Amino acid sequence: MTRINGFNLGVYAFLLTIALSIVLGATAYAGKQQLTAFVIGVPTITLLVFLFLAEVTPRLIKLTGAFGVSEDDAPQAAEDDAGASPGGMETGSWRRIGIVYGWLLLYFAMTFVFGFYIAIPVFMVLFLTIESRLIPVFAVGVMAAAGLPLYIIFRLVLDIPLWPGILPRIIPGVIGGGIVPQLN
Amino acid sequence: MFEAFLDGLAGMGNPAVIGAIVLGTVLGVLFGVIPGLGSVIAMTLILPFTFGWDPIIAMYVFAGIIGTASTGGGVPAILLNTPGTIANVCTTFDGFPMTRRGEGGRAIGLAATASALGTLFSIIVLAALLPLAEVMLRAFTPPDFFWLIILGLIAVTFASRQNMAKGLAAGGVGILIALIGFSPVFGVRRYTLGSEYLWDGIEIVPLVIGFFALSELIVYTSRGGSIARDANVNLGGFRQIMRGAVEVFQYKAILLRGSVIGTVIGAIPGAGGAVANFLSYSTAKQASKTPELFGTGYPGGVVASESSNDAKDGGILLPTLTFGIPGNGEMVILMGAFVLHGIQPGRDLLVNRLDIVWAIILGVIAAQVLTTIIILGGGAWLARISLVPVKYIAPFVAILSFIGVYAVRSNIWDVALAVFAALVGFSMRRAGFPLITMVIGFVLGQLAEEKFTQSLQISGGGYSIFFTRPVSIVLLLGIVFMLGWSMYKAAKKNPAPQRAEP
Repeated sequence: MTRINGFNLGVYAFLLTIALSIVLGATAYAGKQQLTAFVIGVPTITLLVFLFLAEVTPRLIKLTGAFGVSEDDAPQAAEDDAGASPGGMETGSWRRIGIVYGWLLLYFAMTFVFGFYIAIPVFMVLFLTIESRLIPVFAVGVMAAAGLPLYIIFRLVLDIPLWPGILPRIIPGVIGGGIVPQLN
Repeated sequence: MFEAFLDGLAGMGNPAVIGAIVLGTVLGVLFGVIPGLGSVIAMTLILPFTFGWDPIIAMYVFAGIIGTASTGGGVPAILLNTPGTIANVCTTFDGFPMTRRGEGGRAIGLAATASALGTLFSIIVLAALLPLAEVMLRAFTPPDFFWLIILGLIAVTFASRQNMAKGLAAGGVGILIALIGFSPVFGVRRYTLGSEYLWDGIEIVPLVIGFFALSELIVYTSRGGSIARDANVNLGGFRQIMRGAVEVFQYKAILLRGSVIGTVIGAIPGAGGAVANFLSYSTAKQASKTPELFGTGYPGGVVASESSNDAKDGGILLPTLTFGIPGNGEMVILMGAFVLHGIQPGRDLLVNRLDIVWAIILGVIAAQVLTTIIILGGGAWLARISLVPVKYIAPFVAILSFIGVYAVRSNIWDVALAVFAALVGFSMRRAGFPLITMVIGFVLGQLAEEKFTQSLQISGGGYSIFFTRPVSIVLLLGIVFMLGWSMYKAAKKNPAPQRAEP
């Protein structure tokens, strides 16, 4: 018996929420402004509902066959950590996926709080030491070897002003933050 | 047209243009050589940094990547039995057996020359067809364009051979998301939920970086290891490489067939290099008097594969430049670059911005020549890059992605959006949704609404305009055929359940 794949259901529900928000939101706008949302949104919602129902009731996969929903999706959809997906994507376990996404979130959080200049070297050393298992001295060396060209290219050559972090905004005078009071 | 070509040719002496071509070529080769990365990620990462550049220089960079990634992908396919891009799969069939025989250099020579000639063929065809396309465009009215956008979406879903319902649903959601923010058609802001961040709509750069670069990072980093594992990179000497480069001309029929197949298949939205690659290889095998040699290290097999996957470059540019319908991931990012630089594909591009068109065409040719030289000279060295474990590549991709996203608008929330898009993109891929249709829908969403509204203005509000014009009818028939065919195939695959005997 095929198990229902909660992950797929979550993705369908997320996409349905977006589509429904826009189609229902369109009713607040006048006349022709609604049209595209309805013309595109209604078939999209119909397809997503079919996909959702086919996932919940595997027998419906047969009925939705005419819409291109393949039976092949069902057994694959039931996999948890096998590392394959209907799209043919080979990934690690859910735990590994969570860890990697956690690294991205950590990098964003560090960038948001401390800015790019601090977040980049710290993230690189942490990632190379913990995830890539380089010895710390070597990780610092790689960070310096790669970080310096990045700084030269983006700051000195391309002159891209990078986000300094939220700290200077909330604590005036810290890490280059402005100490001039706001004009009222 | 010819004056613009000469201007473009003269402009290639500009040091900035030369630098752009070299940058695009190096990026294309490096990302092509590393399996799992490829041209889409290379273009995605460089896209935000081109903001503020002269659009022509930016187009040379993109052309450099487009023209080189699948050529670079042939190197690990031959030397490591690991195709750099999906369009290099058939190269492994004969390229790797040649390497095991100690003829890796010969195979590299064959592949590099076949790629260059395939690209040259398709670019000449593209240049010859552009004036005809401009005439054809005049016959297209707003309702025709609306159906063309829908047809393009369906064609990409159809050709991707993934679940049709999921592909269409993703495309629909992409169009709906594109409606968020300021509407140039109506002059109002919509669906912003009161958020100032959404006033200008969702930015293309964080979306594509999240969908393609960061979601791919999650995929390969969670899997771990290096993608290529066999370190056999013995080329057999430079003389052998040159022998292969010259030997291509002994396989003229295979080369020509592969180039034609690549160009034609490339022009069909969604079909792309992988389909061209398999079709060219199987056709060459069927037409051969010695089909049993294919798959055993036959040089003709390498020529068939590599000529077709590079010949798709000219074909795939045709619908993108003329109709603004991107046929694959590379073209979606190129469309994103057009948006970023305020370039409108279609008639405006073909009449008023021929400099852009020629920058892309000449850029692809120049990059291909440069790539051939790089690969002939340093194929073995390039193949070793494939052996770098992904855990060392990941932090650099993350850092470049974040800086790139931030650089466009200096808005840190764009970076947050990219991180969120990575999660959404990964989840959608995991659930079997083709991301490319969603991004195509997103890129074409505003245009779809504009053409839809224009059509209704022309007809005075009547919907019959969508079903009465000759071009619209032809496009509608195409849509009906594709949907009908996919339903037929799905019905055959999933036969109706048999009623149980009492």
